[in-house]
Amino acid sequence: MTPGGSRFVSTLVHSGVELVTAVPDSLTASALHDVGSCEALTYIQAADESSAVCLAAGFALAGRRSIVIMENSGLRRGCEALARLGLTHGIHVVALISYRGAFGEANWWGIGHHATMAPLLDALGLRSAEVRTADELARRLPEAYSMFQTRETSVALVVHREALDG
Amino acid sequence: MDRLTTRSFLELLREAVPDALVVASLGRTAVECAKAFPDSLRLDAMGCVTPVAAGVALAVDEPSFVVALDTDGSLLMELSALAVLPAVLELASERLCVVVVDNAILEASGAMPRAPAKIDWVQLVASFALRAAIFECGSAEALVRALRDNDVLIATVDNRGESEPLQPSDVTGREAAVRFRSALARETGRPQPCPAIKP
Repeated sequence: MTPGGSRFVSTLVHSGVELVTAVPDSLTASALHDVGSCEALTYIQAADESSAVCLAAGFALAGRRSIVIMENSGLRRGCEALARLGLTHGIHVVALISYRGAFGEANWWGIGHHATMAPLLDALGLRSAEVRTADELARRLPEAYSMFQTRETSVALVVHREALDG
Repeated sequence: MDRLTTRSFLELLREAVPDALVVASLGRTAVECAKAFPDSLRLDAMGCVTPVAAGVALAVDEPSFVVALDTDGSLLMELSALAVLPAVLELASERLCVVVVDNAILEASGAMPRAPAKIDWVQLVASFALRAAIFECGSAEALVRALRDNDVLIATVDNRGESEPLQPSDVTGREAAVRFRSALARETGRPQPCPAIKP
């Protein structure tokens, strides 16, 4: 049985993640429920993305692996923290961002999240990759930490719903 | 001691917890913190101080002790930082204290009065199920007790008598982060991961 009973949790644990900070959304809620049940992971739920980013950043300063999980709309709330920490101080994070507003989005409120996501990732200097399946996530997450470990950039994995299933 | 200034409070804090890992706010707090705790992380990032320090506290083990040296203006900018503290302190209560240096003005921005001028900090913090107290003066021993007995300590300071103008820092934000990473590595015995794979 995988840690926490899910493929997603197993991927995090096998990638060396110890701390998960998050602002849950409907796409990540099930995965985060599994994270919260996994003894190998510390899960801190934040009230807004800025705090989630800062917690993950502080933890990573000690050379330990953290990940901040949020909806892509959360980039807007997390902008100031990502800009100040990343661009001003060179303090970076690894983020897993659920992709609201992807092609086929059927919720009116999700459309705008797509419109702001890519420009913000670019402006804030986050290197990013889109992830569509759980297999791809298992491959991409170690790559994200390899890049993060250079201390030169924050890294974001923009995940579709299917990548969080299983 | 009649009243605390930022400088005298930082001197007292150094006496109380000389080995603390300090994540500090900006302005005069950063200037004085650089003298008292040279390896501290002075963040030019209002609203980020308390949650970054909380993340550090989660990453270290006892007896390491982390001080979030926040300021009233900074904490007000991101009050939701208080919302994560109960969960963090459940795991790291012996390793973290949030100190809010409260001068009631926006000193680095021309000493404009803070809005609102009056805040019941203890009540505000207590509403998040956190222990809080005001620290207005006292000995280093009293400060140690206050840090130990509270989750958030409000240090009331009055810098109106300070005659020296604030000098710009000669350490950049990136340099401060590098120094702090090194201090953390020494403290934890955990070296930073190598940033390259090619020799």
